[in-house]
Amino acid sequence: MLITGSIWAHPVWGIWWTWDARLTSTFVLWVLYVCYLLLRTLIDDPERRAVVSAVFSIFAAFDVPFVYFSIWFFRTQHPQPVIGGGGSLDPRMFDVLVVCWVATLGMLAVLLRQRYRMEALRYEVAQLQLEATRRGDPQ
Amino acid sequence: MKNMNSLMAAYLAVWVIFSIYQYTVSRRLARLRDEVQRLKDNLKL
Repeated sequence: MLITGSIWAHPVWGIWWTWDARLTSTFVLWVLYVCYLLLRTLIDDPERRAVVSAVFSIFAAFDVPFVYFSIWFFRTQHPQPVIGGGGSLDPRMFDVLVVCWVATLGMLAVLLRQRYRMEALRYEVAQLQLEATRRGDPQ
Repeated sequence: MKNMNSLMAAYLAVWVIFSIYQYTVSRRLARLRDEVQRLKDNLKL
């Protein structure tokens, strides 16, 4: 979104980026997400990793409503809401928006399934390594 | 159509990033499957 938003903004606003409320809060949300991913790779103990990651994600989730409502509270470079906010959206653009939503949901489903399979395999590897250690087998 | 290049650039960026990520995830999955198989063979399961 940060990349494609900048590509959209350049011909429309004449700038690639500006530090307005919506863009800045979205950037902060992206930084929080990167920090969450780093946190999960840096902690070895699975239980401690789960607890710390859960607490951090709850903290990070507070930025999500702020991102959404930022264009309601602040009058900035970013356009006001076009759906549900009194703005108008060309009916043809609404069709395009729906197609993009469906495509994005499809991508989400594929990625989620792959990540689930990856975590399941990682768990299986950990269990097998534990079993090998218990038996005294060399790995 | 106006700004068609920007639209194409945005779509290209999204699909390239998605494809690269898909490729890295597929490779990681293949490595994990190999590791599981190797461990099962060692344990004779």
